[in-house]
Amino acid sequence: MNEPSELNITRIPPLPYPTVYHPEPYDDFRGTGIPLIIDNGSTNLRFGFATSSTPRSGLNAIARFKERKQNKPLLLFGEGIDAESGAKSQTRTPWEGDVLLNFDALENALDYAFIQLGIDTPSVEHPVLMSERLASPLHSRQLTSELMFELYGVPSLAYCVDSVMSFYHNNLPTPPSPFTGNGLAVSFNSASTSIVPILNGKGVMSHAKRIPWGAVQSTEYLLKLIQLKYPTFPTRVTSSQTNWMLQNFCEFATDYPALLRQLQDPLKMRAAERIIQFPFSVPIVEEKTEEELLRIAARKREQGRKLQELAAKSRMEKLVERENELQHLLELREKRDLESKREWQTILAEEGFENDSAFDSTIKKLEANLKRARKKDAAEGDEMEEDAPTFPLIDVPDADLDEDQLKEKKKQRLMKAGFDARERARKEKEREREEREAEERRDEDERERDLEGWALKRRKEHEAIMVKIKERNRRKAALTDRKSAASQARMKNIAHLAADERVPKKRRKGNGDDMFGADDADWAIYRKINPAAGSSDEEEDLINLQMIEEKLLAFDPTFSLDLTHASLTSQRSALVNAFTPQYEEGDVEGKTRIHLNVERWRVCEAWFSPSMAGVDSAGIGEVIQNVLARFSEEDKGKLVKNVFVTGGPSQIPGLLPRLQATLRPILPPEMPLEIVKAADPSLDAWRGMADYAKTDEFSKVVVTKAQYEEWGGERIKQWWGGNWNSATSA
Amino acid sequence: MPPKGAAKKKTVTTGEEASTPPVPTLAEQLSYLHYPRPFKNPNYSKNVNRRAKNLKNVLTQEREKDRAHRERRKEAMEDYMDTGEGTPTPQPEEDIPTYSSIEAPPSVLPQRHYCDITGLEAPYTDPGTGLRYHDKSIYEVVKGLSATVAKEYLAARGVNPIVK
Repeated sequence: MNEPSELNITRIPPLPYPTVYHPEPYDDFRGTGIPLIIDNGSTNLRFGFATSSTPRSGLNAIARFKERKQNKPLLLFGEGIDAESGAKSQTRTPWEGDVLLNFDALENALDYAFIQLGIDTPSVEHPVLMSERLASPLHSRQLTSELMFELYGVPSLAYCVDSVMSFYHNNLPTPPSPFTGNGLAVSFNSASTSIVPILNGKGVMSHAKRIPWGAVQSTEYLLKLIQLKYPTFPTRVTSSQTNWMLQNFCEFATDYPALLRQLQDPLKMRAAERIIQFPFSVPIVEEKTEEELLRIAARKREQGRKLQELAAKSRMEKLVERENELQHLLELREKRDLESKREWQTILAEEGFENDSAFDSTIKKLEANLKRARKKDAAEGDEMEEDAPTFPLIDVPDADLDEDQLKEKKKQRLMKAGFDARERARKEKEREREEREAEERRDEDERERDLEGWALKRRKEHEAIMVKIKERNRRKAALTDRKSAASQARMKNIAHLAADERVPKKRRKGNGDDMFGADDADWAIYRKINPAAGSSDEEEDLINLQMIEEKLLAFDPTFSLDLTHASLTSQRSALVNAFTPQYEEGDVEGKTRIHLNVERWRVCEAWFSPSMAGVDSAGIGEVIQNVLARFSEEDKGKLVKNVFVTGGPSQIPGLLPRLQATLRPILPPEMPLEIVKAADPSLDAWRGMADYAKTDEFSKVVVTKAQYEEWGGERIKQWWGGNWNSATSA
Repeated sequence: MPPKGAAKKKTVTTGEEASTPPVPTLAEQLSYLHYPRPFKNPNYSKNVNRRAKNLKNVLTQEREKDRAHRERRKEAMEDYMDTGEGTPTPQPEEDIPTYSSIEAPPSVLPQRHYCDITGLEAPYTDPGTGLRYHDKSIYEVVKGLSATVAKEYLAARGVNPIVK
């Protein structure tokens, strides 16, 4: 079960190339009346003459499809559908899960079968033995009979149940004695699992049971589990690939709970995993060579420089322009002194100024602009040394000044205040910087003196901050939960704030104002109420944490990357890592891998307990128990002495030991229990049918054309290998 | 209905000249659309009844037929008992199996709880989402799942929570 294996990687196999089959020569069979055996299964259609040793087999699906390139209609069968990618979407299967429903598809499939057998007579002149499912609905049978008798003209037709025929093949009686086998046939099919008891050579159909869980459901379940485990898987996983995985990697666990307990250990889980590599493509990274990079850098610098030159030029131009304007305005001002008032006004109006003061202010602005521009050109980046501007008017008392001067004084006071404030701020900054430097120096001294002690102190701080962050997160989480103590306290606070009793009665009579806010500490309540607050605190904490971590990383040899806050929070447990191993970001190959560990057994366990996967049905063990309970003790003994397992999915390893472990406890200890697998689980049903068709009994069991025309398609003769239902007659 | 004409010649030409017909693709080789089907009866008309019926319809039809049949049988028995004539159709000892009747019943055994994420045993259940989990490290993962992903996990188990 848990064989130790190293990194066990298997690649998804490419699709097999479909082979072209040619129709076989028919001459051997023409006119012989050899029975034609058709095992109409939900996955595979198997057909052949009764005398062949193996049947021809193909996937039971057809696709009628129009090829886009040459606009030719095509009809493909079985594996051939894989040859044309466009055909896959047009696939039709005669079986819909468990029931034969699509008769167009069935007609085409049978056409293929008959063509391949080379039949060229006007009607199919062989008696046919066809398989149908256990307790098939009458509708299915009626339409199949209609097809066979009316379209293909077969002379006679009989139906049988595949599991019973497989049992027959493996328990062949020596002729001429009739078939008197006893046993319990457990048949695993695509969409169901059936349990058929066989007593004295007769299939006891009334006591048979069917579980709606088969290979198709298992494949879907495995696919769903894979999709949940790898939600960001780069390529699409198809059902056929999942089917391949199911067939090759999954097994039945003999004791599922014990196995799970073993797999809890991450080491064992890694030992038991299977890795499947999907096709991937490595992205081509354009690696630029050194010269290329240099060239690109040089080009960028060139561009930058050109831009700078352009900018400087435009600035120069603007400067010149402004100088000219200033010149012009200055000349005008000189003129003002010379001209008369009226003429001055007209000149001003021409220029576009409203009055004298506007004119003066414009001149002053231009002059200041020019001064600044010239200074910038001259000394870039220098901090403007403001000479301490003088405020002469501030000291003069108010009474001595006239209106204009008062205004001046106010202005100067404001400017002085601004100037003082800026000075203070600058001094503060200086002081802070000095403090910080002093602190750093102290820290370094300490560190050099006593590394361990320093490291310990820093570690403690680190932990303290981490604890604070965790606390805050926990409080935030608690606030979202309606019933926690924190959120109840919050509601109490809100209610208290909004309540009328905040203001004591006496006060209310007087002014009735709530005195909230008079005391600064009151506003702190908003912090408590608002659950989203505290983000600035968080940021501060994170910044401090980062600084401490940097220092520790740099100087403390024992502090490593995984002790930092970031890695601690994103840690995944060993178990989760074993379950879904993570690959690095750039590892394209790793990211297209699927690791199957627990799923290998979990999927197969669903056969024994379908409720794990959401299907409300009993599992194999329980159903067998129910079936056996309806028989007498003696019959039960006969049945369990020969438990026969057949069907494609029964080839999954581990089935027989599991059945043994499941059935042994529910039987009395002295009853011998023997479980047998069919010699060839997929083809034995066909072989059993072929064997049966060669006997004489076959001819007695078929429905002839005449009988079909009389009774209709639903009635069949009741016999040991066929279905019973209300339409059967003895 | 495919015509009863001559079979399409499946010549696999080896020459590459443009004058010879192009090599048929694999799909064309596999296609049997143009094969003769002499065994088919040309007088058969496609029964309208044959259109693929829904599984549900088929099953309900079965059930109806079965019920009708049972009624008829019961009436026949009663007739026999009343009048004393007529052949009594012997009631078969076992019930007649139909597609629906042989379906396995739901399980009565107590179900084991398995972890939705890992598949191991799951003694615990998350009250918020309803997911079962194996231990507290898996619980961290469960806490981090979004609502849609949690619902998908539940759907895999067959629990479909109805969103109110």
